[in-house]
Amino acid sequence: MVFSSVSFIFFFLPLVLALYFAVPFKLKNTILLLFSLVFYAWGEPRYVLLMIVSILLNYGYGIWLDRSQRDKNKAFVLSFAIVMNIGLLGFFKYANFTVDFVNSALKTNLELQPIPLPIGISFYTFHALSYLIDVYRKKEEAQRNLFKLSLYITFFPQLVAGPIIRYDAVAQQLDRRAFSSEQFAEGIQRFILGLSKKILLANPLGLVADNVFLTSADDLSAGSAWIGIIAYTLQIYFDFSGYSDMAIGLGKMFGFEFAENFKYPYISKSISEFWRRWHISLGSWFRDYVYIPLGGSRVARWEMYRNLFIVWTLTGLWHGASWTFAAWGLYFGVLIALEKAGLEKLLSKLFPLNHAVVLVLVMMGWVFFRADDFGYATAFMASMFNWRGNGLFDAQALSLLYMNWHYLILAVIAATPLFSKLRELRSSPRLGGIQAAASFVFYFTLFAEVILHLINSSYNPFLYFRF
Amino acid sequence: MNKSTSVLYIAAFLTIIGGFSLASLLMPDRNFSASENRALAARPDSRIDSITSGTFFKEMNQYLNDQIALRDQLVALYQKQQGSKIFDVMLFENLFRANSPQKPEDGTPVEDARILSKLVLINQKWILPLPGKAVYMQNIDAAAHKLNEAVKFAADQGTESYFIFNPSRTKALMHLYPPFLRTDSYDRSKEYFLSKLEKYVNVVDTGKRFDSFTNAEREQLYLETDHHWNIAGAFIAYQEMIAQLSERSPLFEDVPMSLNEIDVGQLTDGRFEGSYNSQINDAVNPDQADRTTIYEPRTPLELTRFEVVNKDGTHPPLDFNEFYGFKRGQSAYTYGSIYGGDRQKIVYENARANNELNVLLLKDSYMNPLTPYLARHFRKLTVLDNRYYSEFSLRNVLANEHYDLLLVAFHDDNLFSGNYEFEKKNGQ
Repeated sequence: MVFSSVSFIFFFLPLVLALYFAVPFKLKNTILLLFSLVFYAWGEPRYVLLMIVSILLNYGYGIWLDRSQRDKNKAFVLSFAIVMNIGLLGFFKYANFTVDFVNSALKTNLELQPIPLPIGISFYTFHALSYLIDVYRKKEEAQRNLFKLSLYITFFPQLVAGPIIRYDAVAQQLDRRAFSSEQFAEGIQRFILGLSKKILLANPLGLVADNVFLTSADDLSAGSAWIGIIAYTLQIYFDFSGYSDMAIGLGKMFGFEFAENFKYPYISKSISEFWRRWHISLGSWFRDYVYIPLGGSRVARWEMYRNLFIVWTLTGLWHGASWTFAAWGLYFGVLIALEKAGLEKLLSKLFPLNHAVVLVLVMMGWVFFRADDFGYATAFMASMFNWRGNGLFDAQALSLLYMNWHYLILAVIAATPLFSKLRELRSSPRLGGIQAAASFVFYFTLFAEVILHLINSSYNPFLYFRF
Repeated sequence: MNKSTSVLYIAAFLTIIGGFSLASLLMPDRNFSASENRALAARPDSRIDSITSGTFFKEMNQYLNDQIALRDQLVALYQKQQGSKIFDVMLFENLFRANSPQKPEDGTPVEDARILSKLVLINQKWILPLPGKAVYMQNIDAAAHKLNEAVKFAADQGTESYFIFNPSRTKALMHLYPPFLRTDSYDRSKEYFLSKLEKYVNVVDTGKRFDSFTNAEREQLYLETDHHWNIAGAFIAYQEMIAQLSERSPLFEDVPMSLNEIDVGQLTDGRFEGSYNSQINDAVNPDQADRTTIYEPRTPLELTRFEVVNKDGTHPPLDFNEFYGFKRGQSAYTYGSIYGGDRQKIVYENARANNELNVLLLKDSYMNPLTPYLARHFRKLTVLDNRYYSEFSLRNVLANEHYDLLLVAFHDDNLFSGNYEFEKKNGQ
């Protein structure tokens, strides 16, 4: 199930809220767990069992870790648990990719049926690893209550697309949490904001990007290529950050507080800053659980660069099993290594040009992320700079601009902290009421607009019989 | 946020999501959406196999989407919003680049264009589909192959065949789109389709006659708010068909009716419910839309047999004059209500024809206004629309009764629809 659907907003959510607030506190986690399983099953009924098996195994590993007395034993248990978790993720996510790679590299003919990727497996595996590593590091005790651990891993707001919630960040909230109308109302605001980002901006921008990326590179003008990649750059931000907003908002409605996952990444002045603002929960996961254990930057210079390349290649592959994702990750590894070698200092002297440079570099990265293969990605980039001689502007570019200029302008404005700054403006007490009323009207106008778009998206005139 | 404001947020939010939920559960389910022209989803059965395979959840999503309370009203509101000035895709064009002056024969200048639910509303008058820019070669290959096979089989049965290609509205009115939406993909698709037909397929391309008209003249041949042409366009195509068949067929010789044999009028009152206009909740006022041409032949068609089978297989006891033609004084008209509408089968027997030819016509809805005109020229004309048969076999039809002529008549934007399923088993 997805948040931006009629099924979720008008049926699932009212039901889970009604039951959640109708039962005493001791049953609230059970309600959330049951509904989280239904939420997952709605999209992936067959893989619910896989997720339950993963939870049971990790529950066992946690207890085993806790009971292991010696550090050596603990390290063995953790290594075993990591191998098992990564093995499961690797099988479902990378087995076909690996077989294809082996076949092309060694000219073999190994065969493997296509393995469907269970939704959210990358997220729940990382949740489980976070739990085990936190227990190993004694930051938290092993969770003896299976339901609570299950809820941590499956809690529906963050189950299928994050943010990756660290176990130490929610362990206490699983046991006790305060509820307030203020927190619930903030959750509503955040949920509506996220929903609006997804439906009012990301979806229409996605159509623009699809239109361009489905065009053969032989027919792509520079104008179309730039419109396409700008649209995709905005789409992926509003899609992903919108989802995170919805997750954080839903968490608040149920009394949970999750950390921020995006902080206006497109205003960054360096690539390092971009990654401190983009998918923060993933970046910090890799930093704390991979980069720092490898030695981080407090090692010899060559080891630091090695660590960077390892982390960024893994970050790329985490997003998907393809060489374009690995290249995308490595591309950022190289850029960050260059920044650490002095580029960041140089860029900072070029203000405000450094903003533009970062944006162009990020957009070029998104070309690899969006393209199906290297061939198309490189041809697309060549079109962006008119190296293929397809012209600067064509009818497709004009058509996309005419029909989507309002979405593009709105999205560019919304990608800056302007709205956030406006919210922070402190008005006089006399104007406080007006500000609150305006805010209320703003959020519910957005919600009404979302509902209109959502319901219209199911409007599907059947033209066939008209012919 | 203070407590009272937060309570207000909670109350409003829960009222909206809970209200829709409750209203949808309490209101009776609807079976059909008239504006979408499709059956709405029914509540799915919860079976173990459908739950484990995931089909239950997909069907439940569709059901909840289709049956949500106030759906039609909210869609209408959305379309109204998309029709507002801010969404005029000619806004920049009009602001920064004045339309170059046009000659009258170039047709209506585009001054205003809004996109509503995949349709383009031009100058608050014309409604056209959002044009596609692709040539669907694989689909066309498959459809052309089926047509080649059908014609070959007919020849084996001793039936002479003609494929009649009528000019579609989208292609004929391409000049009415804003410049950046115009495309030659419809021309390319048609050319590609024709290139895939075997030499033994006789093509009667009525579109060539339309191509000789100016843009302004072509605008007079199509309905403004509907998928189809008007009777003026259909009549020209009829004349072209009869003239070309007469010239090329060794079996048939006749002349088409001329305009002198027709009383020409115009729709002056009543709503015209164009099929496109209905999809966007009458964005063009139906009381003013399509004040279209009405043709009434001065010599009535005299039939010795007239039989109609409806889309659902029922046989209504219909008189021809009830079935076809413009009836004055009605409050609402549609393309279907004036021109007989889509049927499974129509049989015309005309003893006054100048020949004894038994003719089979397979057609799409563009041909609906023409079938009575064609019936004047043949002893017997059987009209079949295979889309309305759950099972259909042209081979069986041709094998069970001898036809002298087989006419397959589709419009040239209908290049790979279900019309090409000449051999159709249940469920296909």
